[in-house]
Amino acid sequence: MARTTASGAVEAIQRQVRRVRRRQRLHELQRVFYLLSGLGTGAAAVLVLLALGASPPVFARALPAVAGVAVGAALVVVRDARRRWTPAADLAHWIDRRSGLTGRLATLVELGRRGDANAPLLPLLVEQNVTRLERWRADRMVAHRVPRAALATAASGAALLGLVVALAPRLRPPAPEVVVGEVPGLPLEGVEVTGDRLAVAPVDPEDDGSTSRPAVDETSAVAQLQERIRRELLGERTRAASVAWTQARDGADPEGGGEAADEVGLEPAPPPAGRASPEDRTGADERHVATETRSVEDDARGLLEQPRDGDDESAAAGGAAAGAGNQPDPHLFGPPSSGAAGTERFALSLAARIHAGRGGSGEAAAPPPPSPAEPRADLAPGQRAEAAVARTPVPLAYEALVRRLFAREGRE
Amino acid sequence: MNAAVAADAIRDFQDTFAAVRREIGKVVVGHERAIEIILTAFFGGGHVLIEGVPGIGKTLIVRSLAEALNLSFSRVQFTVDLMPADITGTRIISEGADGRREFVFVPGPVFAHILLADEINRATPKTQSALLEAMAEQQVTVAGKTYPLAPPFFVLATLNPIEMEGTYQLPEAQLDRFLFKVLLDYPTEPELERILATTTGAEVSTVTPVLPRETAAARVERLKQLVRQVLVAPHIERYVAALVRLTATEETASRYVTYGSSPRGGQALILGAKVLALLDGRPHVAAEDVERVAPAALRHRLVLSFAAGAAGIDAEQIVAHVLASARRLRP
Repeated sequence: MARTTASGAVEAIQRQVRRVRRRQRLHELQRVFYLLSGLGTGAAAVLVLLALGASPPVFARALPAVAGVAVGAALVVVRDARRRWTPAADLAHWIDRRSGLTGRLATLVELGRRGDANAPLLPLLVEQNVTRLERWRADRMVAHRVPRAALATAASGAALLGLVVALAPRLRPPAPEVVVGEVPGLPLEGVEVTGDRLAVAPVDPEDDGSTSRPAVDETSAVAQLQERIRRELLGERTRAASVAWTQARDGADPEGGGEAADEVGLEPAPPPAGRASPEDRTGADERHVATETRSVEDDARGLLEQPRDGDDESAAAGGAAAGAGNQPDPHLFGPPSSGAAGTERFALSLAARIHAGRGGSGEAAAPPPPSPAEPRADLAPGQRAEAAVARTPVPLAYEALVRRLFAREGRE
Repeated sequence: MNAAVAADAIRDFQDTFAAVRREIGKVVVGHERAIEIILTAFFGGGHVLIEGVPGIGKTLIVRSLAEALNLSFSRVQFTVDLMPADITGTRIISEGADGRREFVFVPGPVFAHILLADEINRATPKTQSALLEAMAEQQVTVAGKTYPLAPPFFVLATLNPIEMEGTYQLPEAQLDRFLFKVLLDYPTEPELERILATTTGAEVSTVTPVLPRETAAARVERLKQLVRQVLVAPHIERYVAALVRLTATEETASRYVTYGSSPRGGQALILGAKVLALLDGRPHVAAEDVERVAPAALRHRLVLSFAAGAAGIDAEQIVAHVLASARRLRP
């Protein structure tokens, strides 16, 4: 009878051990899941913020850092989980330590496994364990079914990500500010602040142009990721802008295009007087892309080779020369580009010269040799020597604006 | 044995232990930890080596123990000219009533329940070794005849750490046979005041026997048997084995210890831990029990190297390092 009672008690103890094990493991698994979820969503929120607000070089640098931190933290979580994960054989010891049983449970479990059922003091050990069953009930050993701190972490991460996504349209980068004009005493240069912003900033007198600015490969995975995030979160407006520019350029629906452009805060470019055929445009685009990689000297040479008024293709075909009359040549800055806004860039093939200290997208630009056909008198005080503005890759969405600005510059 | 009987047996053990300690405490001021270790070794069935300067109560502790337990007690003052027969006994020619002469064995002082071997390191190794058989097998052999010692048999040897001139260091084999080595420190100032007050007055404290003389030995044997029945889980055995191994392989130990503990060290750890478990009312040994007895059980089993002496490292420090390393192995 005593043996039966003892074995029944041992059974009850073993059942409780199994219950604790189930609860503890479920708790640990949940904890890891929630922590990793919180980590992932938090990192995603940071990435989205960076993609929306940071320039491509900054994003390119921040992405590995954020990914590294996230992966490191995930490894810490997993390592901690491995450390906390209690094998079945050690569970009795874990319970012993947690509930101050002084090895009673572990001894009983191990002796039971070894088959020491006839030890004289074993019944007392069983009885002592039975009287202490309440002390290590499953709900006492693992107080909460859900790891609250980990769950809060996961919820916080998800909330942060949701907030960022919800506020994404408001986080759209501002339209570029292009300063047109002269700052007395300071030469100006075109600076590509980000991949899609153009600013004209004073030339640093110390900058001799020998140091190259960091460039981002726009075809890289990082750039594509940033572009994709922007497209996904700012997609409606980006598409509207694209439609606006396309319509404004083509003149197909000026009213509709104007609405779309107004929506994005930009004005459509005036319709060109003479437009090249799509094939010509494609060829011109390819030519422009290829010339982006050329040096400043190539740019200067290219400028000289641009068609002049009256010798363009339309003139050759017997029509009026483009730009004839009192209007500027519509091809003064090359034919308009085609393509989806936000994914491509265009470069002005400038056929005019404006006053600038140095042109180009941050590259060293030596002033071209003075044209023998245009001998200049001495410059007035404060007047800058003329220099060609090198081509600057600009996102397609800003093409009309840039064209308009340069056209106005030309008229002045 | 059902749970209630076992619980009663453990309670009886605790009561007896506490009563003996209380009685010893009447005449021995301080040294509580040393007394607990000595009693632990006694109920664990081992022997104790006490190291301490003269006059701090070594002999008093042993005599009080014998009086409290109501067991026979004998004392041997070890000197350089002490012979083995002076301890074990000898055969002498005796004339019987019928006039016949025959060899009669006269038991030596070893034939007692509790033997105090005072300043054991002053005797020659040959004499010291005379105790080996008695301590290990609880019997002595004289002139080819073996005489069993009546249980319980408990040897308490003392060592004087000063006046080392003319002493013989105990052989390792004999040191290993002591379950524990106890270090007796000087009493603190309040303890010293109490010693002066209790030993110089008109009334001298005496020890009242805890057990009746007729049943004392049997009762002690029953309690010792109970100690042996204390449960030891496999994880404790693994822990003790690791601890013993670490006395030779642990980083500090491997530098300063020539020979680590023998398996007897492990046995001492388990037996001592069993007594402490019973004192705590548990029928099983916990790792904490092992750690509590580890210094006393291991310190005299380590053979330190010359480097240890040069670096000022003693066995206590080695054991502390070993325990710190072993704690990481605890389940």
